[in-house]
Amino acid sequence: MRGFYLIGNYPDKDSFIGALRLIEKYGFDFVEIGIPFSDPVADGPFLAKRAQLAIERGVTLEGIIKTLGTLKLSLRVYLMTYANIILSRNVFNLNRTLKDIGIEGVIVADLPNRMHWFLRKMGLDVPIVHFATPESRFWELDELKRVERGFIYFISIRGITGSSMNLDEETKEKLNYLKGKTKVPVVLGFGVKKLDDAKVALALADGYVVGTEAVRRLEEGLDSFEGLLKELVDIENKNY
Amino acid sequence: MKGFYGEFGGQFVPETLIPALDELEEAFERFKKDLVALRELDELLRTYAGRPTPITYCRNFSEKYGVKLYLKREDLLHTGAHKINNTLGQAYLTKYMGKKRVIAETGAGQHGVATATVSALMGLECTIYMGLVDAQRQRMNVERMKLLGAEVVVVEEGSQTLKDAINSALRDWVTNVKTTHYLIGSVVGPYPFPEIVAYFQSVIGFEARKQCLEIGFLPDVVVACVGGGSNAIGIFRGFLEDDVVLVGVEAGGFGDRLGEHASTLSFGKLGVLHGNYSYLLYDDNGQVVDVHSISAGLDYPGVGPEHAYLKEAGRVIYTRVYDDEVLFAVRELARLEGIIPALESAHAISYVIRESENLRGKRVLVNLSGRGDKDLSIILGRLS
Repeated sequence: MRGFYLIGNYPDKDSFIGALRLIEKYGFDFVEIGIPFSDPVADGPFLAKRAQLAIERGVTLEGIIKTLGTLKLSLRVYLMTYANIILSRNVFNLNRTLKDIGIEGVIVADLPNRMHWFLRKMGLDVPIVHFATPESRFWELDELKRVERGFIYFISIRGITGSSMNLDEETKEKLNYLKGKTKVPVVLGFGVKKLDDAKVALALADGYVVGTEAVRRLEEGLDSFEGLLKELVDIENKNY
Repeated sequence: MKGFYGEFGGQFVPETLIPALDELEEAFERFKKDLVALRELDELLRTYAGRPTPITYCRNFSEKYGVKLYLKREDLLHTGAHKINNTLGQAYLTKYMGKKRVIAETGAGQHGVATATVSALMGLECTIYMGLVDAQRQRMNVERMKLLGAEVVVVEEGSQTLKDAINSALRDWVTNVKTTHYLIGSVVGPYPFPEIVAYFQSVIGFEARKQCLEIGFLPDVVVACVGGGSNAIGIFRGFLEDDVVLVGVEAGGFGDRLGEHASTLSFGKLGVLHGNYSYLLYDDNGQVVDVHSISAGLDYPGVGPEHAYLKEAGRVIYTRVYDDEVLFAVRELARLEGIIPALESAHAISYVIRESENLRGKRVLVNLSGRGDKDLSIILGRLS
């Protein structure tokens, strides 16, 4: 389960589509498409700034859905956003649209596991991705064995996106414990920037997602972005 | 449903914060039953903060406007506003949980000053987040916080006001959650914050009710300004069970179009910001909009979930007054009674002036939540 985070239709629609095609071409598994929100409290300065830029450039949930509707992707596509972006729509209609375009699930940064029922009650029945964190208590990790579909998003650090990955022993223990409990893959996110991080993630978990670094490289251009994909593919071929 | 007021509230935060919210809830429940701790806090409120605050009858104002106006004088508290009621309580909780650092957001700077103050008193490390726009218009409070030993982080992102200060504080908390307590200043944020802040602020209402009864009446109407809503919940909680009309006054800014005001309960839609589901000002794409108020303390696009509930339940009437009316109210109270109110609290006075025909002969209790010293440059700039 190796994937990337991109902001939808950012830095522009063509680059975004180009990046999706490259991720597909190099055989990665999934993509998280960020719908920008004005108050992204889980994001570090880099992605928060990009969210603001994207909003200023007119990026919207509807625009991103439109782009995705025109593409036939072999990738698994998840949408990543904040609760208000979903709640500000007619949730029943949105749910139907997401199913129509084949969205695998949603990742809602300010919707902890215990609040999933709230969006369900509003009419969302596409899968909502569960989180685990270095702060999770063991009984909470136990509860995650009920998850049947998708993956568990392990937030590798206490902090926000764009920080450095540095897993302490307690976190590694929790990660290992969780892997022994769940039926679905455990994917590491937050702080995965470079080859070494990806190696650590693949050794300790079942996959990773590269976020801030992917958005940064795509801003530099599709060549730079492809470079990132190559680096990650190469190292994996050599070592795994 | 636990954590909700009717359908409003909840815990819409990153997963990392959930254990900290549980820990906080447990500490709060223990604290409420701990008679020794309650007595210590009571002592601090009395000997340090200056409780009980008096109720002042405004003779001249009442003569001019035909309304019997009483003020609950939270402006006389140490640091100049009701905020200290909550910061003393939460600082106590911080120690209770064994944490050594607090962070807080501030708009007008009153909550920041109150947090810096109790941090100095209790030996806590303290960082305050404040939007750049607010830091400029409430400069004196920035200097006060620094003098009290707090680190002040000026936030330059987004609208550079209270909303963005809260975003930054939440990011700090996610990163330092093991050592740090987020000392939220209003009845907003994820549960249990709205309940904790309401609990510590309800001293205003229960005290005022007792004082009114000692004088020999219950007010016909209780009025308070509403930004996040802590001073309003504080005084309303004392009168919820009584046959008393409760009025919350929001910031009308300079107009009724989106972006010109901070009247969340008048114009907002249901949504999620900073951890709770409540009324919120956002655009068609779900993006929270920049709001405006002459008072930095009311300049917030959201509102506490209990207010949303009280509105839906029909228990509290919510309305708004405009910036110009507020300035007029400041001058009236200053000249008639010798009391300069904070711009926030002047919203409540302004409502009484505007509705004086309808309120004729009625006993009206206003929560004068803060004093106007901090606003002098804004007031003078606008009145000249």
